[in-house]
Amino acid sequence: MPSRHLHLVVDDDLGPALWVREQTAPGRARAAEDLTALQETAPEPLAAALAVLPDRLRHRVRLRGRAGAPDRRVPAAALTGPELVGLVEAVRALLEARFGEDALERVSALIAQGTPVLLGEDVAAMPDLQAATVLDVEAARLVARRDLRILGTERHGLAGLVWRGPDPDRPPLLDALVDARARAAFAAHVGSVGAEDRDGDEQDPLGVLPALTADGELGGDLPAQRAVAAALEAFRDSGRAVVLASTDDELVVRLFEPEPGSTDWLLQTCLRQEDGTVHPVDALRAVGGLTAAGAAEAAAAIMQRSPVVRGARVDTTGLDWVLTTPEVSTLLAEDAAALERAAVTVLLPRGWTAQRTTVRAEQADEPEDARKKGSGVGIGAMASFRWRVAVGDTELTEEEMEEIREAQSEIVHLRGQWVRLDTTTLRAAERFLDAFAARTGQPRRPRTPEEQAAAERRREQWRRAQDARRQGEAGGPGTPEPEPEPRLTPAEFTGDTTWAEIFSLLLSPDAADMGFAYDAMTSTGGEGLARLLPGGRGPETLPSPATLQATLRPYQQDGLDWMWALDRLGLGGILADDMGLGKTMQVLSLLCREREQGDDSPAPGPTLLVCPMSVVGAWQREAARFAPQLRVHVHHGGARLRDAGFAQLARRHDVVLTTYSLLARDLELLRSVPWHRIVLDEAQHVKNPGTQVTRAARSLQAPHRLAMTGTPVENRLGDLHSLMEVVNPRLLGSAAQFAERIADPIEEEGDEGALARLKFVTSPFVLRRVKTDRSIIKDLPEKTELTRVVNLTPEQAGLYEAIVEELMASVDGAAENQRRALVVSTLTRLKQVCNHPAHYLGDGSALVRGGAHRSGKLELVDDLLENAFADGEKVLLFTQFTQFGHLLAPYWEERFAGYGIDVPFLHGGVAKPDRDAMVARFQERTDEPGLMLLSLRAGGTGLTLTAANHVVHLDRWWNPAVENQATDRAFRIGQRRDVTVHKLVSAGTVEERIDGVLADKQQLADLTIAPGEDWIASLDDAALRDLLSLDAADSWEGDG
Amino acid sequence: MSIPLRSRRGAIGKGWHAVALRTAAELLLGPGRASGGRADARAGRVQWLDLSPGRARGAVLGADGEVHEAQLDLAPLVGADRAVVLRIARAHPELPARLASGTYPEEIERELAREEVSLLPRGASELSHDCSCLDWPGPCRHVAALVYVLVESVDEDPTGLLTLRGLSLGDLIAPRDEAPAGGVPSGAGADDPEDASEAEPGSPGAGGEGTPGQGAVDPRRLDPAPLAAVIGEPPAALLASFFAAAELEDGEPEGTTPDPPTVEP
Repeated sequence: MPSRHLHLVVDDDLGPALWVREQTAPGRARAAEDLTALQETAPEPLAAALAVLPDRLRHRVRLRGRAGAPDRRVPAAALTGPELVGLVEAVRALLEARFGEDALERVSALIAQGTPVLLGEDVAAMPDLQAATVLDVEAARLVARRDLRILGTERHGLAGLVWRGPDPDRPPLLDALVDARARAAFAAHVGSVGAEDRDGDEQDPLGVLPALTADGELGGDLPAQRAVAAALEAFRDSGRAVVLASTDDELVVRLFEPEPGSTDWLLQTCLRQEDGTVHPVDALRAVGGLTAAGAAEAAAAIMQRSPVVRGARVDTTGLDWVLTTPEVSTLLAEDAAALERAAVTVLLPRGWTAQRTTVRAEQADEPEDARKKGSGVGIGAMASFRWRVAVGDTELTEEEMEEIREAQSEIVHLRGQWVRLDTTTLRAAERFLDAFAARTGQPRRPRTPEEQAAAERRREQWRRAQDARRQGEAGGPGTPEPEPEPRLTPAEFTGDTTWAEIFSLLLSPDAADMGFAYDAMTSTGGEGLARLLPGGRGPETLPSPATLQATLRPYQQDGLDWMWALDRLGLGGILADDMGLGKTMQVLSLLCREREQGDDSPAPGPTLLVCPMSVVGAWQREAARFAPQLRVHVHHGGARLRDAGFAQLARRHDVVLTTYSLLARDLELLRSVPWHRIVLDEAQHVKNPGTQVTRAARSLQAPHRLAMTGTPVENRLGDLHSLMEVVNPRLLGSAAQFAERIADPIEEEGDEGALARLKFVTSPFVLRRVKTDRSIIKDLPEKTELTRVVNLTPEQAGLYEAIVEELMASVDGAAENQRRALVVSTLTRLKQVCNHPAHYLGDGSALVRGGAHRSGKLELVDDLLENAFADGEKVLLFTQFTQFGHLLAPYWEERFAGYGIDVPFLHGGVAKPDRDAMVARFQERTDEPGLMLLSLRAGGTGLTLTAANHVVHLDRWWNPAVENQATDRAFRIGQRRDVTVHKLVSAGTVEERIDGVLADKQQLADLTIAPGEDWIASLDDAALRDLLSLDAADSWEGDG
Repeated sequence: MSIPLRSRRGAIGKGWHAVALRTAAELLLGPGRASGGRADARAGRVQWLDLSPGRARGAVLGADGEVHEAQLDLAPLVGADRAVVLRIARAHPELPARLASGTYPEEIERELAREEVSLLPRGASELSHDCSCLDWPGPCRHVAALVYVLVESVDEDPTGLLTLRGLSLGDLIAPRDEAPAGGVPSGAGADDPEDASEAEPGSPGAGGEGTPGQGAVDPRRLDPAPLAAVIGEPPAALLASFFAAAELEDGEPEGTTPDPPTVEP
């Protein structure tokens, strides 16, 4: 019978303590007061572990009394950390000796039974001590794995630190073992790195090390001690695989659509981690990724910023809310901005962008009898207009519009789906329709009681259908079928007014911000302008003029009919076909047709045709060839008639040709003639409203006006306004109004509604066909545009970087105008460097040095020419630098001497006869190698060079329209081969960056805004550097 | 360091709960001490405030130029009282967020009152005080100043009341399996795969598990820099290298730790 039972307990005050139950006689036992006997008789290593303890058990530990019995106190030995570990290890050694391999399992089983285990002859370990050996295994493992927390403690008013395992709520004995083992391990670690001779106070001002290795007191005041504890906690958290703290992660609220049949919107508090994943705070809290306090703070941050959320119903998580539809609407309309300002992202249901409200032009009709009623003609004629309103792609019924109006909400339930309305366009549509009603004098909403009642009945019916549908969605298969949908008739808004009125309304502020579309216009049976609108029947088709000595292509016939229709309505037009589509032919055919109207109608008066000097000859020749019966007079040259005889002379002719420069100079003379029509060819000459030429063009009186241009918008929408002012004065309002209401919104904000309205208003008056439209031109071959990116040579790169650096140094602090000049001149120099170092240096050095190229561009072009010549093809090369052309021409003549070609260079300084000769020679032999250099501005217009099927742009002009004009020298009617356009761009340079800008703009080429160079000058220094500086990764490797 | 009071004149504490706390504390202080304490608090004499279960402590700069440590005690809620608070709080899942956003809904307090429990002291008798100064038995000016700083702190952040009562925000949240079902529509959280995996009740910090799952700590990745700012560079570096010597499943580094005991090789 064992006489001594060892107990290990953890006392609230003493911590771990050993007490011994001693059997004094059979059936009698007491708590031992003294360890001496045990220390002597216990088996090793237990005896050694006990030997370090005091003989007498001076402490008293409190033992809980068994059910009902009072607590009692027994003598015990309080154990320090090392003593505890020593004792537990000794006991374990004995247990292992006894049970061998499965000691741990056996002991666990014994603990469960509450059986003492003999350690020696008269000493046994009680279950609490046995348990300690099991817990110690866990403690040692935690310490080895450093799975440890450090907590602040306060005992007897003294602050300290303790080591703990990761889990709270473990047995106190485990805590004691972990603390003892961790203290020892950390002390050993501190000793092993030789840190013990540190200068205590300075190195460790708060005494953290003594508090963690021995039982040192933590220094500092209470807040400092709290800070230490918090820092230690944060230290541990920094090692979490997923770091989640509301301070680091972005706060997000996510909105979920109601389940079918419900109107409860869930608004969920979430965090977005750095990697972009969004986690509900509720889920994070559940898995311990976020503390309860952190979760509550996240939700609180939402509440603090959103009155709606503060008042909303909270769901069972306490972190998310259940909103009603009006609450969601208010949240989006009012609170979302405040949340976003506070960097809280509001995530809406997938695919949930605000739907724009669009006013759709449904029909525009000019009844045939309207004119008979004595209303005006042209844009003065009365017409009836019909609009519909759509949200997204859904055309709204009267009932739906009423529902939206009544809901006063951003969120509406529309045809079974929740839709978020873009309130700006919704209000804009309402405003437009009100203004339309006011201008047409027709009320928008039903007035009479009967009408109102009828509308109310319809609405009620509709609501019932909606409810039925909702229930149908919510319910299972057992629910009855909802009653069939009433047929959905879109609401229509109609009214009568003049074209002029409607155009002015569409361009007025009443139409601002409005979504506008006219693509679904139904074909109308109307007359007048209605025929020319999109969806209209189109102009009346008449036979080709018999007196025209050519066959019109179908699209040319269409153009003629269109010009004819406008003529009959007394309106002007802009014929804006691509270059090469035969605008001249179409205008000639118009002149022929009006002279074939039979003998009863009076012969029309003369047409004044204004064009650039360079194409006067072309007009003369084409008129003589295709319409020889037309009497053409050229008002040009020093010998021109300048007296009263001019008017008489003009009357005797069908066409009077003159130039833009004479238009301004001979204005009074030209005004003295009652012109039947004014035609402005290359009408971009009047794109600038302030110039003398434009003012002169506007002041000429004539019932019919026509502008011809391949580029109706060369730079800005203001160009279009200026052109339209000449052909249809006041149609687009004043220049200032047009800029403010239409041009600026389109150009600066990309306002698609404004663009649609402008296109709608101008659609009857502008006819533009493009060559790339294969339905228009069936016999023109393909055009392939290639952007060829070439590398700079090291020489070029060095020069380039030096220039950029020089600029950046000198713009710093430069005055505005000085800065502009600096930037513009630097751009020129950079382009020169990209072309060729010799071009920039102007030193007359050789273009190729020792067989090695100095310019990446030249090398590429040499190869390109070699290939083209080998195939017997001709090439056009454009540069904007005349000086560069002069370098290149002799170089290529020498290099390609083997092909026996000469290199003509057509630039501004070449006299007209020489130009014509160059062109004629170039065009002559189509299947032989050939090369022509052209300066961009001089060669850009009026030439036909279809013998070439390669076009190379050596340097870029920042305006695609100008480049395209040049390209069209080769790509025009008469071209029989596919044309390849090579645009050279130096890699990593400003050329490449601007090429990106141009590529974007090209898509809007019809109504484009091509950037000049001014905007570059207005960039700030950093943006300027970004734009100009050389991207080193692209510089030339090796010597190529 | 001192705690600036927002209130410059008039009553300190605006929210109803702050007013209730102040009213109880002023009964303890008496009018004379109260006005002195207000003045001291507004003068910024309270250096810091610390809240722990059952006790608010603060260092107050006395008129004698000494810093005294004053304390105000309010018994933590234990046993049945604590159970009542938890039951009522868990029936109001929004309570933690409300408290965190600075409001203590009065209806909660009314529900507690029906069961004769309160987060607030229900009179001066529930409060006791102590101070390191010699003005015994008090309450001294230091305790009075502490009271007003405490009132304003709790006014802004009612979770301080929880702390005093021995509770935390986490205690107010029902354990997962107790939460009423159906709180989250099925659509919520199901559209991100991450959500789905996270929503699984994992075993956060389950100690012995070797897989560093959600929230598990990798002791080799601890960042000592913020710690160094608080406790100094050398101790922080020692702690970091100590943790870095962790013996994980693969490749046990040479550690200075005792060998983990093995039952049998």
